[in-house]
Amino acid sequence: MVKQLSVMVENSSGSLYPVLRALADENIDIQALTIADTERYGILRIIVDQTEKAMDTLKRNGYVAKVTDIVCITMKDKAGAFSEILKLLEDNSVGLEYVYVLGRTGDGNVRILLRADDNENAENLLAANGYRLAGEE
Amino acid sequence: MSLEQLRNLQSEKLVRQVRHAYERIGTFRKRMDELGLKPSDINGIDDIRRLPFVTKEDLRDAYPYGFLGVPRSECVRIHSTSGTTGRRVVAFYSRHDVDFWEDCCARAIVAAGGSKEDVCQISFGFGLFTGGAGLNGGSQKLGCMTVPMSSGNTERQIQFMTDLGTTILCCTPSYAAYLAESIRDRGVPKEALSLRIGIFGAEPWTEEMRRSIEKELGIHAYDIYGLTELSGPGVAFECEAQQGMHVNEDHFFVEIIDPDTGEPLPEGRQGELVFTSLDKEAFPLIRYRTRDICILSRKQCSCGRTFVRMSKPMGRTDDMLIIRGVNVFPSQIETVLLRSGYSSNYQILVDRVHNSDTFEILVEATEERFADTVSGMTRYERELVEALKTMLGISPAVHLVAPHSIERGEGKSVRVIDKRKLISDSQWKG
Repeated sequence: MVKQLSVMVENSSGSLYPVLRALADENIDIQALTIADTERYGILRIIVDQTEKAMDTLKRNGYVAKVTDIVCITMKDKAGAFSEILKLLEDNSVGLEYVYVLGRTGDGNVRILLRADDNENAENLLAANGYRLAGEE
Repeated sequence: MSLEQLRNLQSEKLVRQVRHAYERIGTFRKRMDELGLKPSDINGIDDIRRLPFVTKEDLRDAYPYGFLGVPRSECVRIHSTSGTTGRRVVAFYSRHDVDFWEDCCARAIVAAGGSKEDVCQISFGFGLFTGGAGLNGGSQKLGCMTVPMSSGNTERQIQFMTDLGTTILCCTPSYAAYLAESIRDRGVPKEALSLRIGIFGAEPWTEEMRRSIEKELGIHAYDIYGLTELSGPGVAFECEAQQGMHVNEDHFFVEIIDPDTGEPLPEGRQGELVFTSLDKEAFPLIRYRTRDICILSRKQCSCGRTFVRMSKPMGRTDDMLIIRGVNVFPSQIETVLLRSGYSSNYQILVDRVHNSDTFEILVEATEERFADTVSGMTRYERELVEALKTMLGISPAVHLVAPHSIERGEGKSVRVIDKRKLISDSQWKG
């Protein structure tokens, strides 16, 4: 599993900048980022290179944040690769909460991030089907 | 009756009631003893200012039986209303108490122009709420054909109105406005309705709202006032003059006090309404602070009644809101929030859309109540709605928001934003 940071951000103009600025000022690098938006707030989800330091920084600045374990899968960077993974999960009744991309690995593969309703189950299933999973660095 | 006759009657009743409350109500006796007062020190209504007050908190603390004034076997009914933090207030009634209360409601219907020839539809809620029970009893006492609809079921309300020929409608003003709108939407022609009179209360409403409802329904609309603690509706009622509500002074002694000092204020001054229940046996309240702000006037009324008139309540001394006819205290909401793992950073938003009150609460999320998924957050919101519904009796819409996103005014948080215009700007001249 990989550690993801979720932060609650007000959905109003200018509210995202201070969050990212605070992290940048501490020399924390963001490797992946996505936001789930609702009318009043957004859930900012990020993968950073220094999770604990980032958590401290955010808390100190008055943000509500939490660390969640999510699954990181290496798959072929080609059309249909993720659909296969999705089918595997669905056929085995593993639910998907959300998914986004971490980045290309440079050797024809890409790493994706995924939160399942049962992450451990998802990891076991994927490993049993030959997928490479990233653990904690 | 002349003012002097009234004062004599009130004095007689007060003396008896003080003795009754002293014997039966522990809290009252304790307060009297602390002041060094005995019932024999009270000889008439001029002595009333020496007596201690009763507050909502006292009633809440006395839950359930602390203010029961007769043996339980003499008590034939209860009604109940919300307390400030969740403990309910229970009001008790002996047979005699129910009887004179229904008389008061009957008076209200007569003052509005009703008689036994009328068909009276009671669209106030029935049950623990006093609105339905009170007007139902009053209507039957008067001899009207009484239709106990309670609130809701608008389709049937309108059907009975047209089929039975309802002439008097009793409900909250916002429900009356809603009924008017529904009647219009269904294309029911005015000729199909026999409505002449509306008796509305249980929530604040303006002259503008009155004129609008009168026009929409083709009726004369009259205000009625009361509190569960004093029986229910019928403590005061409007007459044909529609210039304030006559207080049933033979049953309720009314004072206006300065809410900060507790000193009685003269007629014409704005202050807090305080009532003494002169006749209630099972729930004898002496100098109950209503927290409603009002003015009294003894100027002659064109209807000929000599009972003092009170203005429509002009506000509250506390922060109580009335939403969809239900009393809501921000402190109740705070209790639920803190109990549910949230902080007291919240904001209440009340508005009126299409004659219906909207009720939203913004609550700042905390670390314990922050889910990584939107569905998780929505689940927290739903749980809060349930907890609040249990406490308040009505469901707000709950929105979790990011910390520090609720505006704070200079120093003090803006807890309530009420966009409804419920209190008229016009001054009441009495």
